Amino acid sequence: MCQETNTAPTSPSAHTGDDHVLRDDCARCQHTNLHVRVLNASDGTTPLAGIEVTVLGKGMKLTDPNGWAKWRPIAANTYRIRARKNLHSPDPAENAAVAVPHGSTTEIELRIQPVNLHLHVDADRDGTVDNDWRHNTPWTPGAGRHGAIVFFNNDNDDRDAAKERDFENPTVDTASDLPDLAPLHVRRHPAGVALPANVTAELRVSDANKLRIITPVTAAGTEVVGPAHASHTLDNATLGGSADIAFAMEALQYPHSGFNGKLTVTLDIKVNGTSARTETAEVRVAPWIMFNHSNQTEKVYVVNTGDNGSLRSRINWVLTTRASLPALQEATGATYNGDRWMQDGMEPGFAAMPRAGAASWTTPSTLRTALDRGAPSPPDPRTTEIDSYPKRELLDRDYGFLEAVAPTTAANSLDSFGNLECSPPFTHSGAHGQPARNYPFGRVVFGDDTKGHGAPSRRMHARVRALLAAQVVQDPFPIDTNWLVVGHVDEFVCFLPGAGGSHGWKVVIASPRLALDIVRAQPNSTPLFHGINMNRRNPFDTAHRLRDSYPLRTCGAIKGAGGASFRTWQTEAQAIIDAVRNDELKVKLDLQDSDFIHLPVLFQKNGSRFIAYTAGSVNMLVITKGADLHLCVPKPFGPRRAAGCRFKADIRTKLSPHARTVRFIDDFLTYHVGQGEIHCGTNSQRTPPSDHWWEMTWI
Amino acid sequence: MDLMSMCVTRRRFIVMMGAAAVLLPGSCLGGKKMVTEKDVRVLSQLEGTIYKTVRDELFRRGGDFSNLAKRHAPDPDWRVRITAEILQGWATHRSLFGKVIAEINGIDLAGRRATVTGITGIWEEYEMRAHIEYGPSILPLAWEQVFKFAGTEPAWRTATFLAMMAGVPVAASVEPAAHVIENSSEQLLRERAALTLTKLPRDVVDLRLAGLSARSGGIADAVRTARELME
Repeated sequence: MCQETNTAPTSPSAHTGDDHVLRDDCARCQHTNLHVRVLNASDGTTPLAGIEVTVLGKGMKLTDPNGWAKWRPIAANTYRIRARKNLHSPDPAENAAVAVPHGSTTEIELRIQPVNLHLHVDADRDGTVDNDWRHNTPWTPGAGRHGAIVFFNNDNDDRDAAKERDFENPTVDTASDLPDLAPLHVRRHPAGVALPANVTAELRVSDANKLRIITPVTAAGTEVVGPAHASHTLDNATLGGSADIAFAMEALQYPHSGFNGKLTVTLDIKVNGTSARTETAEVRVAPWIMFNHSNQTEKVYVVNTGDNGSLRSRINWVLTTRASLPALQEATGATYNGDRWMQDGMEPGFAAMPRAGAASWTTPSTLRTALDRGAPSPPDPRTTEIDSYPKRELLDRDYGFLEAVAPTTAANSLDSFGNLECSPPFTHSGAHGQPARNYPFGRVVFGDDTKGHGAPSRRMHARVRALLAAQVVQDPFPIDTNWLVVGHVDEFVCFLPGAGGSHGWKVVIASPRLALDIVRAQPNSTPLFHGINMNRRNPFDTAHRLRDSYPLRTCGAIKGAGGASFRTWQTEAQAIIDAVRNDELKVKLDLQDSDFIHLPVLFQKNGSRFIAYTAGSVNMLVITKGADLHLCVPKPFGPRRAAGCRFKADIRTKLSPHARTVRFIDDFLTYHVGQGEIHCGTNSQRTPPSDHWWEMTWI
Repeated sequence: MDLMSMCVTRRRFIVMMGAAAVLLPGSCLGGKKMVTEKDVRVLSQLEGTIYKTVRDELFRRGGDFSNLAKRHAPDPDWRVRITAEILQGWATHRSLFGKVIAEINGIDLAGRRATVTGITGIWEEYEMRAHIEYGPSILPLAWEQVFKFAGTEPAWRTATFLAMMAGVPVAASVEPAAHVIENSSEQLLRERAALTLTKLPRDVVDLRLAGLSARSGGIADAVRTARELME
């Protein structure tokens, strides 16, 4: 008897059988109800809202915030009830036979729980995969912030003869390659809960030409997403396993123009083949970072040209005896067509990403110049110029190599890397209208045409400038070098760490004014270039004798009428140097006048440009060992008195307080006459500092 | 070096010889004191040693070269215009041209190559010297060396004259530079010629690039690459 209507069912079959059709008289019965509650199976108590509850034959309702889906009224019967939602397990939860008696409210519970897939990366930058996936994006700089880091995998761990860098093939290059790869896991949550059979997933990246995903993470790993694979599907069977699905990532490029280094990995979780949820992780390519003179020297490179034995032995003495470092690493001059300018062909640097434990994972990586030093083709096709040295001899396991652009003869002298230097670390106070920032890796300084001196204009290759700028962390800035014949920063600027001053370091800078003052203070008969046979042929221009290039060889000649133009040149050069010092270096590096050490160098003018006349002592090799500096300084060959060279005395007085070794080395015939000095002829491998670039807040 | 090697093709060689034959008898007959339009037109088709021989014969004959450039300025063929400029340039600046050529021929290439700036230093030096020392006077020589001798002289030497064109950027240098890209297979010359074009008046270069045939599409690519370097 229906209490609501006070009528009896008209047919005995009304509440039996499987027709599930509510008769009109029962439809009016308000006392036969079915309440279905869906609870989270993980704890058995938490109600789940928004779950699809289907009473077969009666339709579907979504659970309310308390987990209820209610049918009021419902015909008394036995029902099959299902609860489901995408990415919940089981799918569906079911009670196949729920008896709903006439005239009462039946309450049942079904239990399901969310099950999901998440991306796990090293977002907290501790060197291990995070359990927490909720901080994968956005990539945020600073200590304690989040966002994973990937390496541009440009070393050669399998040491293949073709010198193919690891990123240039789709496979893991032996087990030694594994530390260069950043971890990426796809993990099912909760781990012990079965994944619904209708779930699959797809892995994608924002730019498959810039980021590769590899699996398995073993020496047998190969690309699943990258240049040859736009996406990777994870089938249900793979996802249903018990363990994390491990992948690894490698970047295929450093940041460059139009690419800020940030890339997105997307996990697209699909139900019945349709995207149900996506999850992303933003990663950032570790920037290429230049060394600076405060970084510890590991080795010094030089080209053995046969004629530079004296210079090499003197540098070796400083390295081995004074600094307890390995002897020079020599490139064979014959192999490199006698190209002795080791500084100009390459710029050593490094990249770093977090690794478990205190130290980060660092890989040295050397940038090749954009200038094709070998054109036109060398006489012997088996030889090459020194710009090929980094790939030919340095590229190795855990030693990378990069180019901003393939070397071209359309580049110019400003593309040589004597024109690319880096200051030691400092904090800019915000003076001169500059941003107040910490520069733990210093600031990159490169030479450019900033003031219109030395026309026509020359500039470093735009792609090299763009590459440097895109690394961000060393915020490059240009200074005027177009006024110089060679056009390199190292011709008149050198950074001296540990020398005190505003930032604990100073800038050694060439001073033609000081040089001229010293010359003026000497008797007219005082010779310059003492000990050099000026009648000999110029080794770099055998059509001429040295005296043709160095016509003023006494202080009197410089002071006399014949030296008028020469003296004017010193004034002109000094004015340009002063402008660089005041307008560029002091502003960009937050320096005071007292932060500069002025060394005497006389310049000569060739057309609209200048070049060092006496040896450019600023162009020195700085060897850093512990807290000590050891300086290999070009012997200046300035005014020579009985007490010795006046330039040398001045330089020694100024540098000795800051260096354990100040060694003057004669590079006149082997380097100076060829437009360079010791720094131009050497290069330094240094130890990456322990600072974490990802903790910089402003990058 | 034989004449054949100085000519791009056998057919072209024959055309050159024929052209020279037309010109030279006139000069041998002696005596013309006018440089005719035909002289210039024939000379504009010649390159290499045969060009030099005919050019020198023209000057040996003597004549009035002073107004050649102006007379041929309206000619639609840039080769004719440039050749007239070259002849007038030699007549006016023979001393400068001789000095510069002697200097460049005297360069110790191996020695310069061994310096910090290397071969690039030669190009940078002569671009600067053209800019601050020689001025526009040097351009007819630069055009001649690039247009007439690019196929026979060492690439570094031609590149030196391209650098001088870059040092004194004028619209008239566009065609000789583009000619190098079109006709040279040497990467060095193509790169340096493209670099030169980037330093010439941009509107003229763009106009020239816009009118390129499909065959000459490489010029646009080369210039695009070079401009990317500069920007």
